[in-house]
Amino acid sequence: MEAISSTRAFTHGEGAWAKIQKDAVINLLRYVETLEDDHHEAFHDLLPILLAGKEGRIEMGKEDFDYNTVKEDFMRVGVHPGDVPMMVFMFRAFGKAGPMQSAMDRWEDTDAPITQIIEKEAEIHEILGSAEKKTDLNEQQIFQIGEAVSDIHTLNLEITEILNEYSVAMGEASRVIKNIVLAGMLVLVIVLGLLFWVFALHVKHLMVEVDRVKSDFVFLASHQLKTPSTSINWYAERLTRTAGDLSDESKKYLEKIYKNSKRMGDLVRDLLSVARMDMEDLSITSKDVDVVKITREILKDFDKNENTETPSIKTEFESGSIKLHADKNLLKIIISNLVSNAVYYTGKEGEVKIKIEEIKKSNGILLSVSDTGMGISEEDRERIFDKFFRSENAKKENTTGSGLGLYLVKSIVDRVGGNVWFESRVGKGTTFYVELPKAGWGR
Amino acid sequence: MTSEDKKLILIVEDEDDQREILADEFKDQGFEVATASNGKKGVKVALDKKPDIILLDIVMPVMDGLEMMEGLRKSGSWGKKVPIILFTNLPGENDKVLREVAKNEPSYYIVKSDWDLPDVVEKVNKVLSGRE
Repeated sequence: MEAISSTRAFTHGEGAWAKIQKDAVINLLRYVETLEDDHHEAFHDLLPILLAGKEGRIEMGKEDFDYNTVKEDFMRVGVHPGDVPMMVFMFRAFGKAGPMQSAMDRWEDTDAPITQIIEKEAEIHEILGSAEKKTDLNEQQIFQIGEAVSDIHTLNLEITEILNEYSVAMGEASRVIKNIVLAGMLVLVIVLGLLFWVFALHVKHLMVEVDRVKSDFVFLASHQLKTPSTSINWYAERLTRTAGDLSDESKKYLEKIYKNSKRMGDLVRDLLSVARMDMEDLSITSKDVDVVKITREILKDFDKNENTETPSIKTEFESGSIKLHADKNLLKIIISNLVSNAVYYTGKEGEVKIKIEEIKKSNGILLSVSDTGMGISEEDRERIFDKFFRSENAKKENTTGSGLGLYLVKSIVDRVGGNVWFESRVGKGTTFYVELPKAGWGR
Repeated sequence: MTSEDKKLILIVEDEDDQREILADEFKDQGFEVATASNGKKGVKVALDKKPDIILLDIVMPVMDGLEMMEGLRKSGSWGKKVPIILFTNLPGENDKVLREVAKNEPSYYIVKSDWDLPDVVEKVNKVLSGRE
């Protein structure tokens, strides 16, 4: 902004000086006409201003310029002191080339004519100074004065032309500088924009990294946990068989150790599945499987549990064998998680029913697992599929459970192109529905 | 091969605790037991004692289970036929492992953390009787 206003200061300075120069010449001509000394005095009063600017201009061009010299000289022409710093900067930055240099050159071109005008005036004054009226002058003197006045007219015209050229050049310089400034601002904006974009990319990269490190850690940790978990399982189980004559209390404690070590193993396994899901490591390998057969195998585990607390489990399959082209392991995770939830959250008086039917319309199957258990409350509905979410009621009923089961089910179902939803009434029971495509899992 | 009706099982497992309890369990169930703590020792013991079945862990130092299995399969007619049950905690769905595994025809693949000891013994017996 200041750069542009400094060109205005240069123009203003020139305007003020041009006016002075006009006044000087007018006074000079009046003097010739009237022979009155007043005009000669007036001309002389204007001299310092006529000569001003030149010193400052020359000073600005020096290597070791004195700022105050420049300021004082420019102020004599009528330049505002506040404009001087920027004028000096512009001169030193742009004055050596381009349109600003032409303007400065034009300015320099006025030095000679002005000096000559002053000399002519002195000549005239010498002749007229002694005369009281025109009639006192001889022919030769009148001729000399005429010549001098003629020269002054010529010089005046010359100066006027030069000042015009100066104005044009300054105008051009102003435009050029304005464009340079705009270009500079544009470049600055672009550079800042680029920097910000790079920064944003970096941040995003970091966040992805952090997420990956988190998943890596969960994966590694749960993988490492598997080994001691397996060892404890085996030793606890074998101990229950081989401990021999233990007191009932000791036997009970052993059972508890075994039960909890199994629970830990399940949690580790679930964590591992979740970590791999997050890392998108879970690849889908489909082959021909029978979902009825898989379900029956899973249900065998629930019978085998010798757990007198489990509710009765009923099945209703549309046909004895329903074929899918799907990933067996993922299918097992879905079914076993839904069944174990239904079993754990239903008392021994209750009932769990598993139904599988075919949906001809979409070439898929509908699996539903219903229970007569505690149900899912209104406020828990939204979060039931969230990672690690366990409702207060569930926690009270069953202190085991990782809160990962439904998250896993939903992740897998979404991944393979299916749908999962549920209906529930508190105190009455819940039914989970899973719609799965018969083929094309993951596409 | 063994002298009596007792079958010889070779257990190759680097985790000491697990190797010991497996040995105890199989001994209890009427097996003769030989052990090795890595694939390299496992190959030596296998070719030396010629067990009836091998329970083979995958992740082991010095030489892993897959390498040992490949080595045995290439070692001769016995090595080609001996039943091998792969035993591991690696996730079962790992494609790369499954491909390696299928190449050398193990009899079975058990994920340790999902199986109790009695189940492992049952499986070993099933495989052995299947072959007979």
